[in-house]
Amino acid sequence: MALDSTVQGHGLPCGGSVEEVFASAETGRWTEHQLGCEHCAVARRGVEMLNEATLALLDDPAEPPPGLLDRVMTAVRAELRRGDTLDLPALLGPASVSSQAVAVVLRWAADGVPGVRARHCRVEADPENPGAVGIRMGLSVRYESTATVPPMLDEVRRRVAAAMAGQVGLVATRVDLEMVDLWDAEPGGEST
Amino acid sequence: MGQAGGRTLAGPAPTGVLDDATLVVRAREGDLAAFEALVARYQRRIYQLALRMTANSGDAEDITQEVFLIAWRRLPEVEQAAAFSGWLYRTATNRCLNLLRRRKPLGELDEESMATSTPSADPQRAAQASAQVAALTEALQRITPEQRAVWLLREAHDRSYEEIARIVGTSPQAVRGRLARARAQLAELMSSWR
Repeated sequence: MALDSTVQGHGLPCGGSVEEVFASAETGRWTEHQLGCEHCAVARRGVEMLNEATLALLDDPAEPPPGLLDRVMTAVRAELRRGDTLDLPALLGPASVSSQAVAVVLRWAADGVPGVRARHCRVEADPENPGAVGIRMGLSVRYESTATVPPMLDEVRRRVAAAMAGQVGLVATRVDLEMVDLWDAEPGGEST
Repeated sequence: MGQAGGRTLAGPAPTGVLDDATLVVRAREGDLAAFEALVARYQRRIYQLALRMTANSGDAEDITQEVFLIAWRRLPEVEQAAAFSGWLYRTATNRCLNLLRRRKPLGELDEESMATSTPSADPQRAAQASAQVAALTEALQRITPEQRAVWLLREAHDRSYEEIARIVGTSPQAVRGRLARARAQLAELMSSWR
């Protein structure tokens, strides 16, 4: 299969082109010339081989080494910077908790409300009120109608405040929610 | 309190079903479980791209690991969280092309990139598919790395012309031209197979 790529497309010695053979293979309609021409026959074989191999590659069985994920995460953990901390009420001495860790707990609580995916989460201590915090959280929310959203947000507030009190031991005096994205598919679907 | 991954206290969050944008925002705020879910979601695709680009499993493994470490470090710079997969593909493709520029043409094809058989209910068909993938992998090494990248991103990873153009730093029109050349040359190389 000798190719002449100096002409428009990739020309075959017979005057046809590989592009025409690709097009015929796609539609299954072959011209009389293509059916009788040895150059087109070789090109057709190449195109069919390539198409078959491409299908096989789409189901590529090559897997990343089993330890790859762990190695990545070990390196990531080594670089993880702990951010702010929150003071906890304690009797025998100072105690604190990572804001990042608290955010994970609060997102998990918010995720428990069907149709809600928590995104950013910021927890700040209330300087005038020891043991109290304010929470700001961004949400991606499944939108069904205007009527479904307010109760959904109320439930998120309730669960987030309850998780703060029950699992962290701090009182949320404010839970500010921001809807940053809406989606209308089932969980796992694309955001809109 | 457990790690920022939050597993010890709150139980595993259903990160597997979350969209990329949500996971990226969480990972950016130090949520390791969210980042781990992103790695789990994309490591196979990035590894396979690197393996078919380099035809060397060791190189593919190194590149995949580097891509995710760079991703972690640069999460704050990924402005559009939903575009994370495009960012991964761009970084992986560039790492592959950089490696191949330093390497002699037609580098060694290692066994893993060529032998791709897996257990199957139909051994004969699996063997056929495995041989086809091996032949294609070999043919891919005979076209230019830039053509190979465009062909793999389009045909094996279903990326759009516009996205591929951004990944390789050219126009969608140039991508179409490069893809047509790659297809024609691969068809020529495959015509003599078997």
